[in-house]
Amino acid sequence: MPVIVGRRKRLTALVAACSISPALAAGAGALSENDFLSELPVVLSATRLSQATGDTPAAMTVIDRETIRDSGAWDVADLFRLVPGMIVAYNVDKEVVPGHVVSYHGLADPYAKRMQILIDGRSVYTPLFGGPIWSNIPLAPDDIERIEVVRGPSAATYGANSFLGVINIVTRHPAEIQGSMLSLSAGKPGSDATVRHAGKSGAMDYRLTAQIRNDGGYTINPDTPKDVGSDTHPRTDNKRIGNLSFRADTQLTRRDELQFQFGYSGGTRDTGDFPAENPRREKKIASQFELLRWQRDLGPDNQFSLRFYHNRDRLDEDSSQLIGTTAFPPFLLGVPAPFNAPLEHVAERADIEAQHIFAPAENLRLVWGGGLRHDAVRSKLYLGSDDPLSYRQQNVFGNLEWRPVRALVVNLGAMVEHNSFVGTKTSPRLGVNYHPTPAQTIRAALGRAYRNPVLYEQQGDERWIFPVLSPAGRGIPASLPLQYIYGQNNLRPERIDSRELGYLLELGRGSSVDIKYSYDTLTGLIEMYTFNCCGTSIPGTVRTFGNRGGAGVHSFELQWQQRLTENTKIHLGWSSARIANGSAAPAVAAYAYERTAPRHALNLLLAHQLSAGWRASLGVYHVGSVQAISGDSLPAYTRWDGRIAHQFNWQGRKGELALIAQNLGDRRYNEFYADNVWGRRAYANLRFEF
Amino acid sequence: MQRATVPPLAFEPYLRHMTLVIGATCLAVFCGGLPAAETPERTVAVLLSEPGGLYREYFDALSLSLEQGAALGNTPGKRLRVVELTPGQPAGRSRPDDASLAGASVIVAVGVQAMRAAATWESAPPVLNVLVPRASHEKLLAEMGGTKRRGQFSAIYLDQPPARQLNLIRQVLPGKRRVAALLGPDSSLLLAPLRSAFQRSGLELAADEIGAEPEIGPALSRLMGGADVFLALPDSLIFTRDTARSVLMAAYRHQRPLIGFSQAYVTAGALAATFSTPEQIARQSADLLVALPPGRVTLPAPSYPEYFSVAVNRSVARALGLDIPADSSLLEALTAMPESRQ
Repeated sequence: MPVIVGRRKRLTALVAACSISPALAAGAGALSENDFLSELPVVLSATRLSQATGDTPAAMTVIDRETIRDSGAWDVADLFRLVPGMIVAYNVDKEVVPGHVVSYHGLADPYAKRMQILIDGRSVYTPLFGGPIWSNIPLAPDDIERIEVVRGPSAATYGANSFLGVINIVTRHPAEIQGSMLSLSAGKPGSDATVRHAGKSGAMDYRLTAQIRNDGGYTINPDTPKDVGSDTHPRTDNKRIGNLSFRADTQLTRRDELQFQFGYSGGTRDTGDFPAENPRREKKIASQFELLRWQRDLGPDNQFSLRFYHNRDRLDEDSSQLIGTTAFPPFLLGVPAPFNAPLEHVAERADIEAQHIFAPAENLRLVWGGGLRHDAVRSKLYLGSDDPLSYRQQNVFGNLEWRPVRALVVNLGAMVEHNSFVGTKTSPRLGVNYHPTPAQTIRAALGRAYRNPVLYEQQGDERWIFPVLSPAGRGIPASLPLQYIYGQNNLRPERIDSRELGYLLELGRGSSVDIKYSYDTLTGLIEMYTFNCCGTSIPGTVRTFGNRGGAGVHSFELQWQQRLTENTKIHLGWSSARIANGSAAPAVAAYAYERTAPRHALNLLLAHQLSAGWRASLGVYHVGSVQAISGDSLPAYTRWDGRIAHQFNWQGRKGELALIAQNLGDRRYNEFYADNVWGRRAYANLRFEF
Repeated sequence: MQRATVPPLAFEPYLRHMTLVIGATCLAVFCGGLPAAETPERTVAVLLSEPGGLYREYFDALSLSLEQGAALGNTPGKRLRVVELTPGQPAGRSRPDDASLAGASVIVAVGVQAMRAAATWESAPPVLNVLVPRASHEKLLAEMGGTKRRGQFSAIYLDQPPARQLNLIRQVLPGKRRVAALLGPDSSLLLAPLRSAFQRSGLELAADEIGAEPEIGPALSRLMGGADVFLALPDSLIFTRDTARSVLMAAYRHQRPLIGFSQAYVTAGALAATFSTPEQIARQSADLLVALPPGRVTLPAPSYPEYFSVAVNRSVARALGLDIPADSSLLEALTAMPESRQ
């Protein structure tokens, strides 16, 4: 029997042309009763995992692909400006991990470590400083299917460190994007070339994406004319990064599915304030991950999955030569240790998790499982030793969804985790959703979650040893130790207790209005302070961390997403937050939590299909006055973004040429620090699908 | 039931597995209440695409229905002989062996392979094709170019009438009007009846036609964006075992309900479907055979299934936040709604 794979059309033509040849007629690809009557692989288990928006015990913001495109975002972090209550700020090179700060409900420091960030279930929360390194994640915006932001603590569902909120990024399934895509961007923010191919090989769908990105970040050269902003000074965080990511999904049997992913992101990042004390230099960065997920369908409403992943982030820098050439005070003999040799920082994580979902009764659904995690970090500069520090974490979790009557959904969940350096904690959550009509939901939820201290806080050991001329004898070298950080290994996790009241109105076709009020109390917040220890040369200069702070956050949020007409879409978010410090006066002025969220913030994205080939969108972002932890007090700003795109066909290929301008009016505003001044940034993007 | 088997030979695979079943049962059944002695015996030959599986299921159900019908007419007579077709005839221009047909006056061909085999028989009794998709039947008629008259080569389709599927959409998703459908080489043949069903239903159809598998993903994304619900129509390119996954995932990602055309689709993750089981088709076949007038037989025009089931995937409904009436009330509502025959 001739089975011509991939030539179905030709086969059909052949059948039609010949008189009826039964041998051919019985060939592959003809429509038959089997298409109606044989079994299919059970695939939609994803729906069992996720709940309908009206049944979730938390407020959510979903950013889909169309919104991502319309927003004109230059990078992934930019997208979170669309989430009510979220703060996005670009923090330039004052800290070890420069780049975007993304935080919900304020309380953001340069590392934004109080949010969980997951990509296809893989946590990119870094163990040393916390938070993700946004610029160094092998993830092209074109590969994102959708982003779900859970606005509120959600450890019972999303695991450890799902503290203030959760960002859950879902990437595109290769089967949906068969074919190739090329995207080229260039303009003020930098340049980007992304190429992707998605194909099929037997039962496996795969995609491979390569991206080269030259991201100018926030670079001001010494010769830049002064009109850029008088309070800025020359510095750079230019990044040249190559990303490679691969995903393959295979249907092993009718019941079994296997997903494999790997990604690599590597390149250089410039750093340094000009001129002498902190000269311009390069840091080498390399991140990689592998992920394997197996899923078995055990029947209707019954599914088991096992997921393993491994992350490795590495940063290399060598300041020994550079710092040596700069001017030191005369009594210093040279470069302090450990800067006198090349430095490397390596963080590695292995994580395995099993999960089972089933329905014990008609009106009950249970998700439960457990996981093991191992983190290891090696950093002589920050942890004081060349040996890796490691810790383990085990957890079990469960969420029971109970529907006593049709209009009522009760979610009861908890996660119990044990961490080898902070002990055992339980994060419970209770949510009640009532539907007075099918389109309306009234939601009340109570939850508790913990954030574990990161290694730098718990066991940081940063000691600089300066070679100096001994004051006692002429020309006799001595050493002057300066302990910069000393973690006392006595921290408890931070705790959040959250109460939420919400109302959701679903208007059909993805349109909805969501109103949320919440009051969160945070205790044991980890703060940095100075103390004496470790034989330092200058008393009162050693920094350490303690569970010293507390805060109460009242917030009110409104979100409206609607397709106004066939061609017009609106996405609106408004938030108001009032934060009270837990103690009357913070021990350290930097921890003035009440200033870490703006009193009001607004985002609006309006997109309109002008004609078959033209699409335009307008974004408005208003952020009230704010001062992040260790940041500067900044005035309120309103930023207007615009995007206009022409969609066309070129030799049968779908193409799009778009022009994007952020901060159209070029009205200067500041992010995080006063000297991060942003003007207009425009770029063009050309894409082809073939 | 006896079964005489001939050792299968390595010949055309379809012939090797095809089974001709002679139903010597029916006899007086066709003659209603006439006394058995005066009734000329009628024989129905049943040609199965494969000996087992759903074909056997159909055959057993048909026998049962006929027996029950016979019992009603007080006419006993239930000897069944199962004969496997001899795989020795040249493909393309075969002629049924009179002996093997045992003088059958109607052939029931079960499944597409059986339909195609029966189509090659030059002088054969009228053929009623069952468990065949409408597109396959029409395509075959077109290929034969009028050598068979419809009355000699009729069918009970496996597909549901478009009007019934649209009624299902109106029942499960009241107020949703915009229906997207992706058409391929088979389903596009049925675009005309589909369009007219849409016109009568008051729903809007947004349809795209594609010719190759790689186009599926992009086309689905395009269609689902602007639709309330996606209607899957049987097609050998778009809705196959291999593509089911991506189709369902696409619907899920776009949060669009998908209306399938089989129980399997619902189990796999479609929101709902109407479909007919082999047993239901068998019941309709029996009705049709019983109603045939005596004498030289002309079959009625091809028809859609009369008996059908409704299935709803409650997990999917819950995930989409939909509150859907019980299957039994849906079935009741659909049965009561008018459907024009195509």
